[in-house]
Amino acid sequence: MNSKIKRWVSKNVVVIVLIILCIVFGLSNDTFLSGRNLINLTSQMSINALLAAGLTFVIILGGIDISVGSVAALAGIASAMAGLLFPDMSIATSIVILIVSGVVVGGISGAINGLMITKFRVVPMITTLAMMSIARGLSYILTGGQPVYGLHNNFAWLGAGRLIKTESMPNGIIPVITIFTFIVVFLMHTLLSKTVFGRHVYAVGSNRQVAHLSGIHVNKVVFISHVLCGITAGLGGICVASKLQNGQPAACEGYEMFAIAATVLGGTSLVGGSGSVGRAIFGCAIIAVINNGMNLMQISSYWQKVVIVAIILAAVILDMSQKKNSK
Amino acid sequence: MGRKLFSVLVCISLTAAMLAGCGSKEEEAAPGVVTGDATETEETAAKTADDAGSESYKVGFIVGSREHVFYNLIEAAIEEKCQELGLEYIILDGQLDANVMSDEIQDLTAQNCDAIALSCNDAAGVKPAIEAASAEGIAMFTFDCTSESDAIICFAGTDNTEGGRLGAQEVLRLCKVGDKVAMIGYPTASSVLDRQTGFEEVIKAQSDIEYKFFGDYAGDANKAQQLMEDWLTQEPDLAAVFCAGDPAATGALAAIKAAGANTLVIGFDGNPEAKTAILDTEGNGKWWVSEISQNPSEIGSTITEQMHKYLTTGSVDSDFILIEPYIITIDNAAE
Repeated sequence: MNSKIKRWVSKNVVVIVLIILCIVFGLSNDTFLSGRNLINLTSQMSINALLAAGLTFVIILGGIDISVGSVAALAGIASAMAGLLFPDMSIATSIVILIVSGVVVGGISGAINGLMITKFRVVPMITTLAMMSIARGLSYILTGGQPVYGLHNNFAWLGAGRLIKTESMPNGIIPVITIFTFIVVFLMHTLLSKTVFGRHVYAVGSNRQVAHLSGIHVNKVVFISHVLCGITAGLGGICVASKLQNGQPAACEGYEMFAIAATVLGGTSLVGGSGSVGRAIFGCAIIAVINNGMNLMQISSYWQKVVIVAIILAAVILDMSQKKNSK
Repeated sequence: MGRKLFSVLVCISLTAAMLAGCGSKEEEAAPGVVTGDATETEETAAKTADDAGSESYKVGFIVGSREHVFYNLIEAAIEEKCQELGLEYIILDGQLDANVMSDEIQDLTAQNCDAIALSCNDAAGVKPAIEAASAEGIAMFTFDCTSESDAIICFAGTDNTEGGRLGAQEVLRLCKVGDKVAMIGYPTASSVLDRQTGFEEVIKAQSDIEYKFFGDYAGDANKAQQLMEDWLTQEPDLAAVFCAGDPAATGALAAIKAAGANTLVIGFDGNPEAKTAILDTEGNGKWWVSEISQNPSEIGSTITEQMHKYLTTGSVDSDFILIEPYIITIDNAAE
């Protein structure tokens, strides 16, 4: 019985930390546990969840992608520029523009990363560092440093729109961005946990040599994973552009660090071989809860920086020690 | 073999792309800018010398960052003024990095500039480089953000504290007794901290207005959106928010529209997107109603004039020139 509890705890540290944080913030602030705030939380964690969903694949492979923030910004710029071509867009048109921009820009960036890593054997850190600079640079070149603005209100539907309008909440209850993120995360989670490709990702991450010898096309798995990571980053970027109803060249700066932190918090090992998209989302939730809770409690932004990293570090240490014990 | 060929092709195309990139940059640069190309340097030097008669001075500028509209506008004014005064000039991008700026001061010194003006986002970090250049006899100037070094002959920049006060005045003009207001700032940037000081000085003296929230958006519009969303959850009737930078106003506006709130936005910077929003009275202008604008062209031309004056007469008008910010509303946004 005792060992059963221990095993459950060690598997679910991230969930337990999340619950404790919610209780602490709930006790110290009346607004925190209100329905409205909890729904806001799901939309606030969306961008990070999208970035982390694709990043999980790459990290399970034992790689890393630090270009996700810049790729997101570039995709956001591209979608805003494309959006300007349709001054009277409908909601459907705006969704097509946004998703196509995200998938195309993200997919191409991811494919370049994948190609550099598999064809030219450049280490992932260097490849994605280069992509980080190139994508950010392109965002500034394309915009001349200015935000892309003047978009139709329908452009903001995906990022800022809400469904189920009631009398007390005339703007709607459920954020569209939450539903969109849920669908993308669900697809990525299923792809990783229920398909042959997903099992190949784990196999390559655990031991490349063995995976190769057992007939897995290692390069193909690595390439596709980077493309997926680029696509989810692109989708994250178009969500930011839609949410703000404009394209900001400086958007998502440093977001790669939060996405990596969320993935690691979710128990994905940085040396590869294990991890899950679903758990990474709990990692995103922890980061979002800390940010939101501290905003509500009016804690100075300087302290926020320290507290957020301290909690992440503590959660990872706890997770590590639990895993050691359970071995 | 195939892979080798492919690698070679990629290398060639990368090199070509780099060269093309450099080439286009030179084309973009306005005539008179020294870009490091030897022949071009000589040509422009000769040209500006002709323009100015027998006496020609060489001046160097380091703008905060070419990635900001604000500095791009300052740069344009500097170029125009230098051409008007017949100064030979070099303009570099400081990338908002004290380390880069220090190196660039050395580069400009090595290129025999008579005077250098820079925008110090990190006042302490650039001080040693400023003093080293000054010791070599180069006249040192600052604009936008200054350094506490004694070597600075003249500074020209926005009166940010006054800008903050103007923001508070706009908030008071738009609010009524008992209203709750907020500010989104960026206290690690000294110029934005000054705006906060000016704003709080006025707003905290008001007993009939409640200054409820302050948040740091760290230059990230998405972060400003989240701050505003969280505040509106707690205080749906927030009357106004003073945003000490246009990205903050953009983020706040998105959150206000999504929440269906009536909070008014008072921005800071005077960038084109602010003017467009204010003029859009049926849309964004319902919330974004006022803007405190800096005057980047005035900053650029003033500092250039003072450098020219110092080099020709040995004195400046004042060692600390503040350029007044001004208010933009629907009445003057179209100008």
